[in-house]
Amino acid sequence: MDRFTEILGRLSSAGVRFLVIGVGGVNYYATRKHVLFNTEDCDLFLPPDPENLLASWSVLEPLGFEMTSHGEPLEIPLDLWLAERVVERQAVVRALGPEDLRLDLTMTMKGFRFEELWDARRTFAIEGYEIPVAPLSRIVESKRAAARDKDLLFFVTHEETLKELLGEDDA
Amino acid sequence: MDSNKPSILDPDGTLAAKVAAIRADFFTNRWEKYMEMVRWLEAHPENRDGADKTWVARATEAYRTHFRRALRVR
Repeated sequence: MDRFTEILGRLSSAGVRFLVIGVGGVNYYATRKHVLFNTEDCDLFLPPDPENLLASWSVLEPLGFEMTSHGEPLEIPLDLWLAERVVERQAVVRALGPEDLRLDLTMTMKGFRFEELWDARRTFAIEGYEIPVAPLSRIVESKRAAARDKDLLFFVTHEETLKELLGEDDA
Repeated sequence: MDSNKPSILDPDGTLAAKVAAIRADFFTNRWEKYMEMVRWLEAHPENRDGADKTWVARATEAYRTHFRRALRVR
């Protein structure tokens, strides 16, 4: 089993609410004929809920992950007080794990609130785990709002892939 | 937007201008058609709720492993 799946599965099994977003989320919508995008990290969208955030840390820390924010390690102990401060600031927490695994835990996604996406989520079965993924259309709309050059490259590539896929399906 | 930043690789802004043109064309002329295709993929039978996507996880992991093991030879 790949490490990301194991970690996402553990988070899901522990009752942590999250949605896979970013390129990792887009990949889950690939069909068998589809090109996959390479990504070295995994972006997770979490609700602005300190207890949920703390629960995610409680899963990740024993697996060897170090929580950082803005390049600095989060203070120890990783407790509810700290989770409340992180939620207040809506800071992105980067979880750095063994084998260079990287998860970005974010509580903001341009243009969308968590609950809205949670209600529209797609749950995929991966290695027996149930992994919640944000709707594909919302992931790409959020990427448009971010408007980074690397997102433009993604869009052009994804557009080309979809055209090929549609062409094959129409044939 | 990243391409607006000054760069030693693009001192006269040629690359930035090309990126800006692609960006304008994509979001002005191609976005709606692209979103139609995205919604089609979202509704694809292989993407129904509960679909097994284990193969995606295995394929992306194989890719990561392949490049993690790459060695510089010169």
